[in-house]
Amino acid sequence: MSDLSPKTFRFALENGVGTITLDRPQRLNSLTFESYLELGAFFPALERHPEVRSLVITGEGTGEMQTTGYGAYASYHSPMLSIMSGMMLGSMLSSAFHPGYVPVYTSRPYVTHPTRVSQIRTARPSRPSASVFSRPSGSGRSFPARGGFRGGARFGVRRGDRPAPVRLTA
Amino acid sequence: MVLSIAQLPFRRRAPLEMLRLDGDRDAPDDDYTGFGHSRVEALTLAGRDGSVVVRDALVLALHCTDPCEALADDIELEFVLDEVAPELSVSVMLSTFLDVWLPRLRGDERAIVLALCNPHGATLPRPAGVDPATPLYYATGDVESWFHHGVRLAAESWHIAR
Repeated sequence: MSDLSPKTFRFALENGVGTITLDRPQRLNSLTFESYLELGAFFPALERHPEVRSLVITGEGTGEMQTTGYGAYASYHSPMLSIMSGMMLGSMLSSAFHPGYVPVYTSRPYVTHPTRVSQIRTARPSRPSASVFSRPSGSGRSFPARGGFRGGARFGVRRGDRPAPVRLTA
Repeated sequence: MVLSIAQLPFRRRAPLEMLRLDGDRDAPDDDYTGFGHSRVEALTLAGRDGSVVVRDALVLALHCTDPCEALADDIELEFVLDEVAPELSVSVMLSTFLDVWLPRLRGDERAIVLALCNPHGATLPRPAGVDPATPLYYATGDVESWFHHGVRLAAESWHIAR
């Protein structure tokens, strides 16, 4: 069990559920180089441990709630944002420290089911997807400029009502 | 009046303006008919299978006709010449256009890029006068310009003329 006694964060194991608690509330539980390295070594140890079946990542103190607002935004609170941020934090940590990690809710790496792709595209128009460069023009491809993408032009003439061009041969 | 390919007003332009990236659009402008050439310090050619960054490139902004005849090794271009006469446009085969214009435009650039839709996936030969050390990139499918951490041309795939 010695390999599950971290120095830069806390760890508890109960009924197969491991809990990592980031314990730097004075710094809103931000990672240090030391904790980053230790987490990197810790995740593989969790995988090898016979009793650990799932993992909860949390933080100590107010830092746990920083996603609901901090500083000038301290009055802002959104449960959905908190849930989403928690998922993102878990996903980020999993990806950062254990690239081969497979989420507990699926037996294979998570991918959006094909039948839901169009819904997601509708719901999240600002998210550049892998299909951004594969769909033909005029298909509704759109990214808000604030998302970092700025549209330019398509390099083909749309005939519309234009008269046919005059052919030049020389 | 434009009477020959050599008389086309194919001018040097600022890169962002030529590629219609000087505005704040969410999506590419489908009605854009501007054309010209520009020297671009770096741009990303993004395709379905990945992307490549091309540096110090001569970029030619061109447009295919609509409808575009399916040819195995050439593309019919269209130049909308509203500045010459309202609703005037001319068509030119890409191979002929490059034969006329590339010798005029060539400098010491390290690559040539065609910003041009290739809806029928024509396989373009390397134009005469373009040495193998200077790759000429062309795309298959629609080509769109985007700005995302720099100039980006997106298409189904990108190829080098052989």
